[in-house]
Amino acid sequence: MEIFLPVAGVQIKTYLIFSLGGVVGMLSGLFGVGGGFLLTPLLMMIGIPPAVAAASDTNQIVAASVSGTLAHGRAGNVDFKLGYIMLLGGLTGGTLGATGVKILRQLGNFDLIVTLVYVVMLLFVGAFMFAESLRALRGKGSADSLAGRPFYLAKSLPGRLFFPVSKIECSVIVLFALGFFIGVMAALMGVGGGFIMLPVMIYLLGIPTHKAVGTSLFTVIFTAVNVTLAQAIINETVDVMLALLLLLGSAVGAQVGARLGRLLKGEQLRIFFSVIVLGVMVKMLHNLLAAPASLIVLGGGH
Amino acid sequence: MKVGLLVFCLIFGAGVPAAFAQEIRVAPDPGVIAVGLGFKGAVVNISGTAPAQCDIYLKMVSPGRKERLNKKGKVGFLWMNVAQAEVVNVPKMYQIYTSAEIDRLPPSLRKDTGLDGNFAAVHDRATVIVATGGKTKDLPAREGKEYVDALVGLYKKKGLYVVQEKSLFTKEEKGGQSFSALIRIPAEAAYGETTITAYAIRDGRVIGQSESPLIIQPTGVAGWIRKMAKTNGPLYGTYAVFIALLAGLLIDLLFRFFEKLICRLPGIKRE
Repeated sequence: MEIFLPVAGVQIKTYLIFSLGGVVGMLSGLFGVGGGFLLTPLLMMIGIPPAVAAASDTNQIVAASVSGTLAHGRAGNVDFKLGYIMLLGGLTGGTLGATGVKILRQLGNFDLIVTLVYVVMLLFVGAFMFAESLRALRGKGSADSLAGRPFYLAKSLPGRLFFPVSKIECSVIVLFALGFFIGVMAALMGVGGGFIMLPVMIYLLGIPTHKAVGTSLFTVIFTAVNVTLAQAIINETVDVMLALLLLLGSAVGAQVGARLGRLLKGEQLRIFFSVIVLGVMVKMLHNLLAAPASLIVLGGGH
Repeated sequence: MKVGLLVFCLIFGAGVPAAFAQEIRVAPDPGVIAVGLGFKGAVVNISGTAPAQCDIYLKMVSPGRKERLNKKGKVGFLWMNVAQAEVVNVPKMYQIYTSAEIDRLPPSLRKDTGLDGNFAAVHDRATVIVATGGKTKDLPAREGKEYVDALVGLYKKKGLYVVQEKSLFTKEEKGGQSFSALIRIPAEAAYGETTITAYAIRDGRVIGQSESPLIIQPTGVAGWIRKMAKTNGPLYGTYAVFIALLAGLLIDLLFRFFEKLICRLPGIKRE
């Protein structure tokens, strides 16, 4: 069955959109990421205009993250208190980061620097997580042995609070600052920030992997709502029909992902996540090095 | 009345001297294409009558719109987005159907009528605004050509820009001729009022010209969604968010319901 998407102005197979949503939703449920990095290019590949793909994809992330957060929440894997503080920092950082982008663009070579920083960061995070998870799988230590032990500054700065869900004591200032940093990075790179959030929670804050996934997904809800509204108001490119098909798939996928995640150990989750991070890094590197098929393409997208 | 008509011809008919000497008429069937959620494109029968012993040229052009484009280039050894451009006043649909070769027309007539296989009229009307390094500037036609070319190429691939010579079916009638063509309008057609212009051309001169609108408009749910998206962004965005929130909640409820029903799904592992 095919459907015509009124804002995108294209006709598309419904099962294809539903399946894409399902796969990306499963990743959200599994790893606590939005999945826009994967879905937007896939939508563009099947003929959705880039601007509509990016905007509608964010809309479906709202559904996937709500569905996944509820599934994780029932398992006691969402630290709402900690999530709210990091979110507050993230939204502040995101707003300032968006303003910073305008200024930095005028300095020239902004896109080049940001892309290179992003690739290096993905390489670093992916390789570090992969190596650590592999060691853990071989029984030689694990990041979950860091659980409950945030890094030095988090424990020593004032404004310390105990977070019973994550079982850590951590300074509110540090949480806000980390959220702020993730928000700035996300705004500079034009991504959601889930990629950075998860490693920060696991390795810097000492939050157990499953709880980090649930809490990260919780914060994604708010950033996705924020971006959806902005896209609808500024760019008028949200296609509700496209989003509806995607989100039906992704909300189901997120539930499956959240349940699948419970069957996996923390280190297994981390190694799968690191492989995806490294995969995205390789794809970005390929885009940077290989000559494009067409030098001028439709604008928009992540 | 006759004097009025003569004055009208003198004022407006200079470019088409014999426009009223013989009649040409054109009309699409259907004249209105409704675009709903099940829209898969449409086939339109464009037909009409024209003076005898002349060639017929049909041109179908949608209103001009703007499109954003990204340009990639090499920075050092890396391929990056080096410029963003906004191409303004380019029709999304430009189709030409004829009963004779376009090359038979003199270059000046091709330019005046827009009956050009290379879509030169599109280049002439387009404006390109390029943003690079945080600054924007309007590009002169020659510099902006690569952007317009890219956009035209993209539209050609989608079947929106078409040139089909000798594709019109013509039939001699008493005192003239009739013509018709079955034209496929792709699903990605431009919304709004597309203008169909029929030219009757003899010996390199336009002897008759007629216009007719083809209206392509979203209707029903598709129309409502599009109208909301384009005219009331804040409310539309709020709806979009609520639909997503509701869908997330409903799917979760469904999963819980089935989980309870089956009661055999893997238990919740808490750390």
